[in-house]
Amino acid sequence: MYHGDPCPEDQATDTAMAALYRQLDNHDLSTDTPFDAQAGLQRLTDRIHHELGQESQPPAPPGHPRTLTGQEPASPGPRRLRYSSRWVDLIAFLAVLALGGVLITLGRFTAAYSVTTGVTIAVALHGVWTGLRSPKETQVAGKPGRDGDEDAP
Amino acid sequence: MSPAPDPASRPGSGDPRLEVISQAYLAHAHAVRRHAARAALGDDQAAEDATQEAFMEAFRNWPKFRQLPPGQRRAWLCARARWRVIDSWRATRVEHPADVLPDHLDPRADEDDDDVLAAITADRFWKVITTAVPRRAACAAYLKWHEDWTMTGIANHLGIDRATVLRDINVVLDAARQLGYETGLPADNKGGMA
Repeated sequence: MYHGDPCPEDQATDTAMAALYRQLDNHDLSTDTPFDAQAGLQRLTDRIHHELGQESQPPAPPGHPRTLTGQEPASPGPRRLRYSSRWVDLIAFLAVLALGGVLITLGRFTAAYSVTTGVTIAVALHGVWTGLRSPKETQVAGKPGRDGDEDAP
Repeated sequence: MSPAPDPASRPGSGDPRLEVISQAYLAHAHAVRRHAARAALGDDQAAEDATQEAFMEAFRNWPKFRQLPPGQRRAWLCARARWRVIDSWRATRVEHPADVLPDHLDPRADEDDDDVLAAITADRFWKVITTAVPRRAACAAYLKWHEDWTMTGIANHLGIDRATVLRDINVVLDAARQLGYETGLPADNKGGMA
């Protein structure tokens, strides 16, 4: 009787049945549908071209001033924000602008972004927020590479 | 009729990933599709979709696929195709387990199966598991003997209790034994299973 519990008889049965399935994997059968490799390859390359086309959308050039609107996909929210003294941060905001930073507006926020240091100073109507963000995080239109995202097993 | 677009002008033309994966497709797709068709119990569309998805996974997991030795790429692709089919069996509704083992399911339990099962050819076994047993039983048998899953794992995946899995396994086993006995008989005594 096959109970699913290990015993010598079951192991012999399992071995014989596993061998049958291996035969199926390794042999073409008379009932198999013919395989059209060229049609399959065409379908595959079409799909890959489609994904490559999505990958190749040009990212926003770094250091180029641009204004964000609500219609555009928003960049990820600042991750390491802290509320600090408005005067200190207002000075920092002006300093970043003076050193060649980029002015970005988004709704009620106005931000100065330094390409070289990755510092973003955002100013809101009700106060001043600062945050340190990497240039990659601040990139708005460019998508991160798929390879890096999907390298996980 | 408009002329076909120049392939060289398409996005990604010349991309090394596309070239390697196209070569891999030509080398392995036939085996991968056969592998997927066995898992899909003869469902050609499911097998084709699983094959495509396996190669798309190779493209999306390019750093991993690229590092595989050429001899392991086929196995990697077959596994992806197989898992995709198996994943489609996942139960949407899980029954409450009634973990009672069935009694005396197989009256031929004490007989030696080895010779009987060894007499079966792949063609005849394929016909049995795709036409003579319920689909759920064939899925359970595939997970048991091809994937080496435990009874509990099969029960959870298919959303049935272990006792039902055991009954299903025995249905397939009985059908295989019957086929083996018929195969072992002299030609003029064989039953109707062609």
